[in-house]
Amino acid sequence: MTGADKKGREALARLADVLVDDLLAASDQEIVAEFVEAQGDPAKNAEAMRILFEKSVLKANKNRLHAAQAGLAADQAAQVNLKIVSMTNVRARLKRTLANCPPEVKVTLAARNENELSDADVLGMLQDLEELGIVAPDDENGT
Amino acid sequence: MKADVSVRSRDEIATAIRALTDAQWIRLRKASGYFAWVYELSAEDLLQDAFCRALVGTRQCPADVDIVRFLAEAMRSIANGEGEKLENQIETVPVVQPGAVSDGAVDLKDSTDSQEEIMVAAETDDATRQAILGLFPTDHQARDLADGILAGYEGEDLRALTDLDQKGYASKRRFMRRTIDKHFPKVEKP
Repeated sequence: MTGADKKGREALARLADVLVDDLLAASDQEIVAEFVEAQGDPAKNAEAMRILFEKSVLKANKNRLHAAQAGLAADQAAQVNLKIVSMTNVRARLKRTLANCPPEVKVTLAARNENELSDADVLGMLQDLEELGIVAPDDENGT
Repeated sequence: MKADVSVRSRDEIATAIRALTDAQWIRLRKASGYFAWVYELSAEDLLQDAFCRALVGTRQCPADVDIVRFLAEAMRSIANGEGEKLENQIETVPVVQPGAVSDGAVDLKDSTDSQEEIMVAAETDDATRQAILGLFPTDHQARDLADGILAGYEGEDLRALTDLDQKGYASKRRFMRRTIDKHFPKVEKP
C-alpha cells in the first residue's frame, strides 16, 4: 500500500464514519422501512445475525479455553524449571568443573576466582557450561 | 488517574446483544458493510471479530454506552487496525543478479512510493471520488456534502458548504446515505 492509497482510504473512512453516525441517529422506523425497501425482511436479517452471534459466542468460548490452556501450560513449565539448590554444593561443583575443564575453557574461566562470584554468576556460569556441553546437566543438589 | 467507569460483564453484553431489535440488527449489518467496504474486508468476519472481542473482554463496553454504538466502534477500530497492518507491511524484492538463479534471498523494497505507484493510487482515489459524486448528477448540494466529507470537512464547516439550514442539511445527509446505500457498499441480503 502506498501513502497515496492511505489518503484515499482515509477519505473513504471519513465517509463511512458519517454514514454510521447517521445510521445510529436515524429512527428505528426509518431504518426498518429503508431495509424493507432495499434488502428485504428485517426479521430474517435479525435471525441470520443472531445465528452469526451464537457462532461468535462459541468461537469466543474456544478462544478463552485455548488462552486458559496456554496459561496453564506456561505455569507448569515455569514450575518444572524451579528447583531449590544448595549454593555450597553448586560452588563446589563449579570449582570441580573449572579444575577439570578442557584447557581452552579453563583459560577463560580460571581468570576469575570462583569465591568472588555472586550466586547468580555461579549459577549462570554452570548453566552456560551445561548449554555448551562442557558439563552434564546436574541433579537438584548441585553435586 | 483512571476514571471509575463501570463496564458490562460478558454475560451482560451477550444478554444485551441477544435482546437487540430488528432495527438494531439492521444498523449492525449496515455498519459492518460500510467498514468492510472501505477496508476491503469481509463484513461477516468484521462482525464476528467485534462480537468475539466484546465477549472475550478484549474490548470493554462501558455500561452507559449503547451496545450497537459500542459494536460499531469496535468494528471501526478492527477495520482500521487491519488497514494499518496493510500500510505497515514491508515489501520485499528478491535479490537476484541478472542471469543468476535465485537463492531465495530477499531485500527490503524502498518504502518510498514510486512515481508510478503514486499515479496509480491517485487515479484510483479519483475514480472512487468520482463514482461517489456521480451518484448525485443533478444535486449539487449532495455532491458538495459528499465531497466535503471526503475532503475532511466536519460539523458547521460541512453544513456551510451546502448552504442549507439545519433541517435541510439533516434531510440532505439522510438522502446521501440512502443513495450511497443503494450503490455502495453492497449490503448482503439476509
